[in-house]
Amino acid sequence: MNSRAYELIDVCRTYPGTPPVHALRSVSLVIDHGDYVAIMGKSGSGKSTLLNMLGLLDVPTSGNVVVNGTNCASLTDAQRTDLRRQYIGFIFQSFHLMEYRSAAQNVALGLKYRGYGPSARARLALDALGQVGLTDKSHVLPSRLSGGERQRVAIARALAVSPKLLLCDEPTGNLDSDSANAVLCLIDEVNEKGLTVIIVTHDDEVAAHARRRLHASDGTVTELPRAGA
Amino acid sequence: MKSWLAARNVFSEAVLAIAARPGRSIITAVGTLVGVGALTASIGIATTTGAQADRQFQSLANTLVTVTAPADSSGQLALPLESEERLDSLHGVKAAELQFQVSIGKAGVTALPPDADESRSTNVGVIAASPGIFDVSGAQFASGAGFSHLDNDRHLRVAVLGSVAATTLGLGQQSADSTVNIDGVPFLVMGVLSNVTNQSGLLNDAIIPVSVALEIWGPPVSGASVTIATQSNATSAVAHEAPLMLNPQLPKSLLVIGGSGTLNIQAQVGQDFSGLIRLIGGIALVIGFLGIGAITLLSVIERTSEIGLRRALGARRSIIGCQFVCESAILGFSGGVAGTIIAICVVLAIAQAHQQLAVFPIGVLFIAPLVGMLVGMLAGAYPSLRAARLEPVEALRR
Repeated sequence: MNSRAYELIDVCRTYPGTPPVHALRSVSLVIDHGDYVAIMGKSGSGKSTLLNMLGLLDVPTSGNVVVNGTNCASLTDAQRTDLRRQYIGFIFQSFHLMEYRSAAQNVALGLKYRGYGPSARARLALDALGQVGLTDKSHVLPSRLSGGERQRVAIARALAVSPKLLLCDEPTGNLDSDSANAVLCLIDEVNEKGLTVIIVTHDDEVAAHARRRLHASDGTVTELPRAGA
Repeated sequence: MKSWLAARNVFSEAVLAIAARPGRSIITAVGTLVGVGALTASIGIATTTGAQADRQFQSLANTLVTVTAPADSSGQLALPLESEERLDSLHGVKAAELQFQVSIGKAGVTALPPDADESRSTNVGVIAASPGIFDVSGAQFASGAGFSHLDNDRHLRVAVLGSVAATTLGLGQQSADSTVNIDGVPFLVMGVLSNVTNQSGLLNDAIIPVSVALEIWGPPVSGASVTIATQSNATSAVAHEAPLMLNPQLPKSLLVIGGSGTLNIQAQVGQDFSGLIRLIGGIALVIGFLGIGAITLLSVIERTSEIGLRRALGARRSIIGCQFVCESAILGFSGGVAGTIIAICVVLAIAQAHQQLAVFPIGVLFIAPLVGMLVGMLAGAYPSLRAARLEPVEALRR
């Protein structure tokens, strides 16, 4: 496996308009496997756009995004989707759980797109829920879970597919402090097991969990000194 | 991922999505339920009534030939008195009868002697006919019976009344052996008709022997006709040979009706039914198509964030599009099945109410649900395309 999880080379993203919006301006950075990176910045700074680039959910206007050694510049949408499915897991601020499906069914959705059969999906989903301490809530609908529990289900969904890269967009934004701490502990744990974690946040306390901190401002990204450095 | 596994996943996701919103799914399926049900019921009703009409038409087409002669300028009967006997010997003839309208005086037909206080003229018509008329018309008697060849040969003044004529004259259906006066001449009522298979106008008339009519009132002024009941598939042959039997010198002076004439009417009726079916079914299916399309599009809009999630989790655009097409196809198929079942029940009920045998083309029962599925797929095509084209970044923001 390539030692570099990500390499961004002069990545720009411009949204057309009058005037055009330069969400990213010549961003270059390297993220190694096993890194724990926090991307910080105010609203509109480009941090979410950067995360979308890393997640292959968006295409740069110019520049190259290399994921695990694969240059995505010339990939089709289907190829990017396949790459995303193979390597990347997501955790969203608003959880994005399907309200009409149980916790286990939500966790198993990504496994379905990876080609797992019903029995394998059920087993892996239960294992993932066990990792986040929600085995007893596998048959519960999201509407009956607390905010923290719902985010833990979302984490289980991301972990169930055994990704190489975990992208988190404000994972504690909708949680109380206790739930936020529990979620951050989980994320810390998975990073300690070798998973590359990239977390977008505006909260310094959340960013403090990361070993690297990047600051986005007006489309540019700079790396902040490491804590204690 | 193997294609069959992908297909199975798409199908299972579609089923889960449909089951998650049962009310919405039922409303969506109602469109094809109504469309397919109306089309299927229309076909069933048309084939049932068409089969009934076919049987009636076939019976007419295969059994009746009418030969008409205009009035003879010499004052003689335009057709031979022994027409019935001549035609009985013809191959394929089951029965034959000679008849003509009798022009009676102002006294008309009454049920009492003309000098009685309560007698009054009625508008009951008088038909002179040979005895074969009762076989040819399929006559059924409420009372008494028809007159015979012997009665005709003896010039007996006897009459058979139609059921309506008997009522008009103030006589009941059981008035055989009573007396009626025709133009002041008393006639014994031998029988009263309750029903006929054809020539329903006879029920309004009084029927008397040809010999008596010629004796009292002379030859008819409006011509005469012979009606022939034939065996199955003998109509055309009889229609060709009958004029030669009746007037060997001038067969072309006679007008023949029967066989191909009534079959042409049958074909026209069939075409009318088919046109009605197409119109009803087409309108109903268009309504179903628009209903599924609109509701599926609404579903895509409502589930935009779900689409974004699926894309983020690794679903290709094609999988997203296929899922929504599959959902609308399943809804269309379900509506088609339900509509077919309802249509069968409706056709059975209507057939039973009319004491008919329900006739259903068996292929329609299998094709109808597939039509529903096809309508669902086509209606869901545009919404599915919109769903597939959603960019995950935009979709996840919703």
